[in-house]
Amino acid sequence: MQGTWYDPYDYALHEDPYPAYRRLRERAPLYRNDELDFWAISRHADVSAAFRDHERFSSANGVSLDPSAWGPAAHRTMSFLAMDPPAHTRMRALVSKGFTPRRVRELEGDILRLTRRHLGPALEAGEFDAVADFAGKLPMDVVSELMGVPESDRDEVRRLADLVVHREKGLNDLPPAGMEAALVLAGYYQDLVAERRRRPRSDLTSALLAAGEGRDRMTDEEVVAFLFLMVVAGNETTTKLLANALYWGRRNPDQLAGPMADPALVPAWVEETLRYDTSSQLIARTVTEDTELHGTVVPAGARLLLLVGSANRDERVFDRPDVYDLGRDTSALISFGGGRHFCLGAGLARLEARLALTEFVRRVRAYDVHAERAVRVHSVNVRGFASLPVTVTPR
Amino acid sequence: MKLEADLDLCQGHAMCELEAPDVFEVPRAGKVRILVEEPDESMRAQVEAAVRYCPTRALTLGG
Repeated sequence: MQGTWYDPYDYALHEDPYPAYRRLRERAPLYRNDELDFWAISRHADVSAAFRDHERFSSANGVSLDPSAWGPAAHRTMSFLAMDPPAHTRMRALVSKGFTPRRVRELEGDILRLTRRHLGPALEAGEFDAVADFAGKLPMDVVSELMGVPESDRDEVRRLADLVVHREKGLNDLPPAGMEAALVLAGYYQDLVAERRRRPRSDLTSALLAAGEGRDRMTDEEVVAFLFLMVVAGNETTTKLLANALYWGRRNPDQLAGPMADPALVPAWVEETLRYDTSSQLIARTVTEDTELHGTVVPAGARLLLLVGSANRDERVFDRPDVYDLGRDTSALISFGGGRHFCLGAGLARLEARLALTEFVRRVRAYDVHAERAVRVHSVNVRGFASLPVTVTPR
Repeated sequence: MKLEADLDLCQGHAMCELEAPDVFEVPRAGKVRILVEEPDESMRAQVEAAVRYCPTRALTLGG
């Protein structure tokens, strides 16, 4: 794999991973990194096939490269994201009884209310941090609304969740403050689950406790693991999506002009952002049997990275993939995965992004992004901004 | 506007029900049921969204 090097921990790569992805797709569609002990696939056809083949590409050790999140205990904090059938089938069926399309749809009014609560003061200020003041607040508050976390606890829950997803420079894992916050947050959810066990309400937590297949029910630990999954998988990714849309929109003013003039074009803005610069750049799997890929045998037990961010830019599938084009057909994007593990929250993420960005274009006539002061998140899995200063001109 | 579902492809992710609840129903841990095979033109936007966001491309819209 001459001259091709890919290290997902490299800060220079985080600035712009796409040239490296292109080299991988061209020269090393099966890439091996001995030092970090992983294999990687980068072409759309390979990544989407791997998503659908859960027998050969297992999720049992989790899907994140973070050492603290890798291994057979991953399901304790990532629920069915870190399971294979039949455990996955059981858990997904139980969760689906609580996390229904109707429940998501009924959140619409709450999402709009929460959007206005955070966007209102930010727009009045004229200049704000799109992450700290808006994109970083909304998704976790929506998760809390869904779970039934009381309003009075939400700021603290959001503070803990921020610590859990925060990454520190030079540290390739959850920092100690994040570990501590994760324990406190898990304790909080345990109390919430115990409380709903005693006195059920109309929230998702109560619905999950009540969900049954025959006599089978989720245990308290399983419900807590699912609540935690929403924090690690459903919160941060949506934050990144919102800020990435604002960033790439402003960088491509001719494209942004569409949704700014016509809110009906906001869904296209969301979809192209999902394709062009997806929040979840890579997902890990464990290879269960010796598997030949591009002429090389990947041994059983190996760790294989599915480079979703690369697949979405594959020139074999998308015409002029490096052009941010709201008019293109994005239906082949695989930002939410595929197969059995297809993101349960995809509909919620899309709903949230559409509502939030529609509200944004309704109230904002023009905006500027101060890219020179923007700060990127240095996480191996997630791509986006830790801070994105913007200036807005209201309508 | 005529809808068809390929049940060999459907995995019951229920994205269609989220987009167009009057047209699609996905029983829990089951496969899609099309409630209205020829939905009214007024529902086109939500039906197209349902077809577009199906993760397994199980839905097709003709006519």
